[in-house]
Amino acid sequence: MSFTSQLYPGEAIFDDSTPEHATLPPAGTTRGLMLDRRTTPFGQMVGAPPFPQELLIPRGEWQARIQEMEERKSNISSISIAAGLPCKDQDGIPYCWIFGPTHCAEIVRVIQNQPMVELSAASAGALIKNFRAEGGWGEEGLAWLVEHGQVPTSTWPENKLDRRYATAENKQLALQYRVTEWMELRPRNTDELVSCLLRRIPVAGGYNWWSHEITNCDAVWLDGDVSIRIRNSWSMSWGDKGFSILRGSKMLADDAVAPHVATAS
Amino acid sequence: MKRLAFLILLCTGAAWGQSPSPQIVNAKVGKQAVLQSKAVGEVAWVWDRRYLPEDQVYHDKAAKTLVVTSGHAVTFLVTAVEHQPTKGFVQVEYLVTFTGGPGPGPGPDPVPDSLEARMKRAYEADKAAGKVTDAQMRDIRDLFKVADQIVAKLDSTNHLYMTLDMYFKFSASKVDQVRKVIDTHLAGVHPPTKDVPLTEELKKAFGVAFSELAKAVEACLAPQPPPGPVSGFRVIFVSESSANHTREQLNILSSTAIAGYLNAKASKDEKGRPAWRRWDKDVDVTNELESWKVFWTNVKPKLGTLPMLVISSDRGIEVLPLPATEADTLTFLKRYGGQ
Repeated sequence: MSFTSQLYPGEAIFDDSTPEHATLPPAGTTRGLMLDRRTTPFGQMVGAPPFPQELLIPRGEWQARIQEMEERKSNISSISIAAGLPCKDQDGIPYCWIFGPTHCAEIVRVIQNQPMVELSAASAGALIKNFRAEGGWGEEGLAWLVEHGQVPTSTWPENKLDRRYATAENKQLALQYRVTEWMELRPRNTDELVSCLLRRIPVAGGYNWWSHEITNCDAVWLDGDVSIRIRNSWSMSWGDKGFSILRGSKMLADDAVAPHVATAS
Repeated sequence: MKRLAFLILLCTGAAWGQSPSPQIVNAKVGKQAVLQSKAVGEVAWVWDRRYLPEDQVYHDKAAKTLVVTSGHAVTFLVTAVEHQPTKGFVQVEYLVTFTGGPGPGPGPDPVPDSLEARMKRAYEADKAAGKVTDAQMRDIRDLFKVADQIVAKLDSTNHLYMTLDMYFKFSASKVDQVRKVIDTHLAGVHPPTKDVPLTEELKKAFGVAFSELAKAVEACLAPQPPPGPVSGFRVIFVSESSANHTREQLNILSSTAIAGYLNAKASKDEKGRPAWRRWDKDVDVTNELESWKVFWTNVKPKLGTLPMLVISSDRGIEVLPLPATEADTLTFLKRYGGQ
C-alpha cells in the first residue's frame, strides 16, 4: 500500500496550478524578498560552506524516511509543535528575508533543547537595513545572525523598526542568540533541500515566484512524490498554524540557507 | 511617599550549607539608605554593580537576589556572600531600586515557584511593556513576607550596600538618567562606600541574618534543585551536526520519545528545565548556565567518535557511543533515570 503523508487540517497546497491570487499575503501583511539585489553569488559567502555532497540522501530512501519520521513524530514540524514554538508574524514590514532565518534559528534552539525563545526578526533586520522597511534575501539575514545574533521578542518586538530598541544592552544580549554553523544550498536543488529536512535541519528558502522567504520544515510524500512543508511568517492564522505545502516547481527555492548550530544559552 | 529600605538577602550555597562556612574577608560598610520615589508611574528596575569588578558578580552565584516592590519607589539594600575565585567567600552588597506602578491586580497567590523561575520571570517580563506584571506582583507579596522576617532580625544601624545594574528596556541615556537620580539620593544619605574590616560584631549580626534568611526563604519558596556544577541525571547527545549520520542515528538524535522520557526523568537545571541537550561538538556554551559549562568542560576532552551519549548520574560521568537504535537508547537511559 502506497504511503501518503497526513497533512495538518488547515494546510493549503500550493503547486503549479495554484492561481497567483491564492498565494498573496493576507491584508495588512507583506513579503519582502529582493533576490535581484543579492551581492554574493552561491558559494562565495564567507563562513557558509556549500551543502556537502556526502550529506545527500538517495531519492530511493525518501519515502521510507518521511514515513518513519511522521510515524515517530520526529520531523521538524512535530518537534516545533511539541515545543510550543509559534510561527512568526512579520505584520506589515517587508522582512520575510529575516523572518525565515529567524524561525530557523528558533527551531535549531528547540532541537538543541535550549529554552524555547521567540526571537525578534526586527532586531536583526532593522539593523541590517538601518531601520528602513525594505526587502532583502535570506543569506544576507543569516549572515547577520551568525555575526551579531538577535534578541528575544520580549526585549525587541518582532516587527518594530524602532531605534529606541537599539541599545547597548540589546547588542550585548544578541550575542547569546547567534547561529554558529550554517550552510548554503544550491539554488533550486530539490535533493539538497530534502536531504537537509530529512536530517532535521531547517532551511530558510527564498522564492522568486512568490517574492517571499519562508522556513522549509519537512519533506512530505504526496501522490507518489516529495513535497515540502513550509512555515510562513504571516501569523498563526495562515495555513495550519503557519504550515502549508509547496510542491512541483513552486517548492524550488532560489535562495536557501540552513543553520544547524546555535549558541547554547 | 518615603519608605525605608529593606535588607533582603537570598543566599544559596554558602548559607545553605553545601559549602564550608563562608569566611568573610572584607566588606563595604555604610549606613542604611533611605530613598524616595522620583518617578512614580515609571518602572525602573535598576541593579547596578558599579562597585564590583565585572568578573566577581556572577561567579559561582553563591548569592542570588531578587527584590521587588509595590507601587512606590523603594530601594532595597541587599547583602550576600559570594564566592570569588581569588578571594574565596567575600561579602558583597547590592542596592536594588524599583519604581513605578503595578498592574491592575495580581490575583490570588499561586503555589510558590522556584527562586530561579521567579528570577527568570522577573528578568524577562515587561521589557517592552515597561509595567509590573501580575506574576511579579505575586512575587512581590512573597518577597515582602521574606523581607519582613529578615528586617525584624536586623540591626538597622549597620547595613551594607550596594550595587546597581540595568535591566529592562532602558536606552543608555535613560540608564544614565536613572543612575543620576539614585546617585543624588545616595549622596544625601550616606558617604561614598569604602572598604572597612568586618568586625566581629558585624559578623555576628550578619550571621544571624543569614541563618534567618535561610529559614525565611525556605519557608516561602519551593524546594530548590541541589546546587553544584553537576548533579542528578543529566544527558547530552553530542554530534557533528554537519556529519553524515546514519538514518538510525538521526532517529535517535531527533527522537521525541527520548525527549519525552528525558523531560520527565532528567534532573532540573538551575532554571528548572530538564537537564538534557543535543549539542554539536563545537557548540558555544559561553552563555549557558554555569552547571552546563562546567559539565561540558569536563566532558569535551573525553569525546571520541561521534555521535556520543554523555550521562551524568550518581555513578559519575560516562561518555558512551550512541546505542544502535532509538529503542535501545531509551532502554539504556532507563537504567539511569528509571522507568
